[in-house]
Amino acid sequence: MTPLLEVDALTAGYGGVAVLRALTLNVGVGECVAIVGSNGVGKSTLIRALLGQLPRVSGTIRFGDRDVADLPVEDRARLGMALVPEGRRVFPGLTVLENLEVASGQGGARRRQSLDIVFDLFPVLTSRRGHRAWQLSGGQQQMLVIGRALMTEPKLILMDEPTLGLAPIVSRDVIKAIGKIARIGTGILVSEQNESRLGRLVTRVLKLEAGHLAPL
Amino acid sequence: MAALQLLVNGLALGAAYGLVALGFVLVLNATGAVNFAHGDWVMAGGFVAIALTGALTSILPVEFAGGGAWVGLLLLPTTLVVMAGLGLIFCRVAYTPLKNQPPVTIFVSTIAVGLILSNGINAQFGGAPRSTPPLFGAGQFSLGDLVISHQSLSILGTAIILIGGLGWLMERTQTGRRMRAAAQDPEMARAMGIRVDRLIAVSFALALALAGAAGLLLANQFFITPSSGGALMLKAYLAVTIGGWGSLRGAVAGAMLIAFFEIGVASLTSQPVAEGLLYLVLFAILFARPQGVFGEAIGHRA
Amino acid sequence: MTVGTTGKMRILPAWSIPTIVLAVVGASVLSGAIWGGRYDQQLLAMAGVWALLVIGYQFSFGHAGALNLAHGAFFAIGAYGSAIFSRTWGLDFLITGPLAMAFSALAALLVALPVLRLSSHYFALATLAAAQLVLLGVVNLQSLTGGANGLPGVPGLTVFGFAVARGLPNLIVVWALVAAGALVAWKLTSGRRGLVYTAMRETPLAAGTLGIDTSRLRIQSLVVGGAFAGLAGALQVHTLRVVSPEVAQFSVLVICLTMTVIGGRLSIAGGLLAALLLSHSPEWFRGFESYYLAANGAVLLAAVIFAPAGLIGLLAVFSKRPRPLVPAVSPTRDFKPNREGATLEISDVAKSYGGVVALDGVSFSVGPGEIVGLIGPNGSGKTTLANIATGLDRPDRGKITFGEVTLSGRPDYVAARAGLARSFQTPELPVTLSVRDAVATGSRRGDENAWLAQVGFGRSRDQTCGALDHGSRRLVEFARALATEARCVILDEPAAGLSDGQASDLAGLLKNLAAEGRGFMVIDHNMEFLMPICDRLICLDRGRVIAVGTPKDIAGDPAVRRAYFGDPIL
Repeated sequence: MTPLLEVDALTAGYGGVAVLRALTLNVGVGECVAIVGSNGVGKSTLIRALLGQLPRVSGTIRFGDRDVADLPVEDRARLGMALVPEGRRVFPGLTVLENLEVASGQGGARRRQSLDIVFDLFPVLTSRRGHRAWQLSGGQQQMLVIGRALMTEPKLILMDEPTLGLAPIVSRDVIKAIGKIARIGTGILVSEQNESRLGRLVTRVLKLEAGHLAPL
Repeated sequence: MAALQLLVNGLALGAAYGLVALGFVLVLNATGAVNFAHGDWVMAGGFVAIALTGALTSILPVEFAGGGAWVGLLLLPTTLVVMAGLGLIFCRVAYTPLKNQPPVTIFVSTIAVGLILSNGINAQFGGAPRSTPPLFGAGQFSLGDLVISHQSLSILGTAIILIGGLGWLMERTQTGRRMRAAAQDPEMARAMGIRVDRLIAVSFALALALAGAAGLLLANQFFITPSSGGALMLKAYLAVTIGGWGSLRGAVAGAMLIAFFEIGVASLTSQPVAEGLLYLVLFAILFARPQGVFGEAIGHRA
Repeated sequence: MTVGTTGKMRILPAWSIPTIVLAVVGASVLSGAIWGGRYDQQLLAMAGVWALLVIGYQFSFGHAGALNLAHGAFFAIGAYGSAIFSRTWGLDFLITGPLAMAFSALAALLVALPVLRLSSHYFALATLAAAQLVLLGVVNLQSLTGGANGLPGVPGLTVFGFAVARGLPNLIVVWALVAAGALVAWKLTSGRRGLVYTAMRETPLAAGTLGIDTSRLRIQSLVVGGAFAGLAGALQVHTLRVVSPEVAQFSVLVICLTMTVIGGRLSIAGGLLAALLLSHSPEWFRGFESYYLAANGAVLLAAVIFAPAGLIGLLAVFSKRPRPLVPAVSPTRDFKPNREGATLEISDVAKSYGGVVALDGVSFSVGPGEIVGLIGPNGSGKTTLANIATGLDRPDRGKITFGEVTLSGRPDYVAARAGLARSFQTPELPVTLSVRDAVATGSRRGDENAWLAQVGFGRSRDQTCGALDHGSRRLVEFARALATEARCVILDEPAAGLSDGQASDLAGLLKNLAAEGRGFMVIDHNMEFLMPICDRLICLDRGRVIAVGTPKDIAGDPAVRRAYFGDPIL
């Protein structure tokens, strides 16, 4: 499998205290990898460090054959990393359509094509395209955020607990959508507290324990 | 007919205040901080225009220089460009080094810049009131008893074009969408590949260009002195408070209200009474509705 | 910090820097008084006026952290007050001085009361508008203030009927008052009082839950600062013997702000030094002529960017790191609560935000010695409930009582004083304070070390809270909550970020503290942590209690499994 993301001996943390300790992991092109582990073991820290929101202390991060460990967040995003953050974080004052359009680095026909893909995936957003994002329900906001990540035409989407705080029935829809995204060949690294939620969706499950990957 | 005259004057003044308030909101949204130097930048814009008038009349062929209309028309774009450039410098000097500091620190740094501007200009140009040339000549026309100066119309026209242009930029273009997104959640915007720092610099440039336009237009009718900035800043601050923190439409509406209040109440009483009443109204507003008259621009859903 | 420094330069004890600065200021004033001419003495007297103004500003802008733009107006009110009373009725400064202070303090109170709850930008605007009103009044109330020309012929200082002559005598009176003012300010802001200000400024959310009445403290700082400004204004007019609207111009505030930022927002010695330097700088920079004020702005800008802690902060590179403000005593005490246990009673509490229901009729109680676990999906209302119980938020409906005290609808410090403490999901600790000082903000007994030992905090207590990792922050915050003599503590995710070993230590500690009669409400996701310690578990989902019972019952409850633990989906 062609490697998309290669992380080697990554150490990162806050205020001089390492949360991730010499962590090594790979994600191949088109793979959907789950990171599981209980609260506070470093799942969010890992995602923040991969995207560059948190500086690493040591270790390397290669993404699509480039060393990205010293690049700012914007540049990593432009190379094809997208984020579905914890707690949703739509742009509340922008409309649904604007939330999607703003993410696109392309103009004209190509942007419209991406929009069609997102609206196909989440039909419920189509009818609410003119609403401000803060007016959506939690589940709709989560779909919007996933759609927004897709609009950047990413090679890899980093998802931080995408079903957190969602009613089970909504979680189901979100997980189905993640499955569809995985099938069109976009790499996914998704963190979850509970691996069973993701079921057969993922190609591999990695367990994070106190900053290390532990055997399952 | 007197009421109609007040309406025309109020519209022209409100349009100019609207330009001032819009620039104030642009920086506010981009940085989350009050730009206390904004009024001084409007004043500086007037003096930039005065300096450019001198430069333009000396460069231009005599037949153009002689016809004031041409100078005025050339003055507007050159002032906008010069002020936009100053905006980039202002951003680099007073904001960028402090971007990770709390808004209060940026507030203080802009107070410092305001002090440099007002006193530097005072030292350079002196404290006497100055005026800029009109945009389309100094004439006026009358409709019955109604007297409308060309300058009032130019203010209105220019403001409509600039405010409309800004509205188009913010609402209809990708750059505008990105500016709004970055204002609402800069960290998330970065995670989508948006170059937030660049957009902030653009906001400063736009804000100061608008300040320049306002300075150029206001200084023709009302004269400016190096100490005019404080009152203008206060009006922009008030307009934004009334119109809803961070709202562009609200800022223009607030500016219009202030202009009408000023002209209306001053015509009934006196200038100081009108000003004092304005501050008392502000207290009442802040006391009754701490979130502004029209509320915040964005609602919340838990 | 912008200044790098090696350990070798840190040779002086921390207290020596302000002492040396004070000595330099004192020596300069003394030498000016002895060898200076009439003009130098006048200049030094004015420096003293600025010094008092700056000390006053350190209360509101420095300690309370409020961007108060009306401080210059308070100065003007004192100036005109003393001028008018002494000029019209020939009153002694012993009367007009205190009158001036009272006028300014009253003005500060009038400004503070209505605008206190405003957020910082609106607070700045409101105080700015107040300042403009004062300026308008001064210029337009011709008969009282002399209008734009001001009032000439203000008498010099008169004390006990004796006229104080220009020059040296006037200088002595002014600087004697500066010394007295500095002493008062030091008394009001040093030691534990200073800690309380820091807690309010850096952790406004937590301050109330430590029993600090932040509204009152903020009003106090504005009013005391206003009184200082009034005294400064009064001294200024009698030194210059004329008063004009210039004292009400915004530039007074800007110069005061510049001095405060350059000296150091919280340092009296730094403020005095900056007042002395900046009031003399026009003399030294005569070459700049009219550009002098612009240069003043440039200095302010440079200070904000390169020396945010002011001159005193720059000098601090030569000193050892400051010791904690409170002494390192470890009184032996037993940790039994000094008050009888009380029951936290939550009945039918509801809350919604903009139409979205966060809590919908929640009722339960936490009795003395009981550990109650609160679980539920994110967004189910757990933290909202903690906020409402501790007075950070108001319920739309329902009642909360703790023992005999009704808490719902009352300010946050009421709950804290009744004995209900809490920790936060993200620890709210003042980052600039040492660990020991941070715990002391909760304690009234000087037993911070004992509590730190009790919760098992094993690192250095002299380091600042900002340097701590997440787990240690939780422990420090827990120690602070206990130090308030709490009878019941609400803990928001106390085990998140702790290692397994730390979590089991914490579990043991909670058991022991509960056995002494304290109640605990513990919000957490870590079931391994909660199961063995909780007497009861309560599961919230979308604002409603969906299950109550023993940990074992809850773990097997189908509704809880569906909403919280989740079932495999695919």
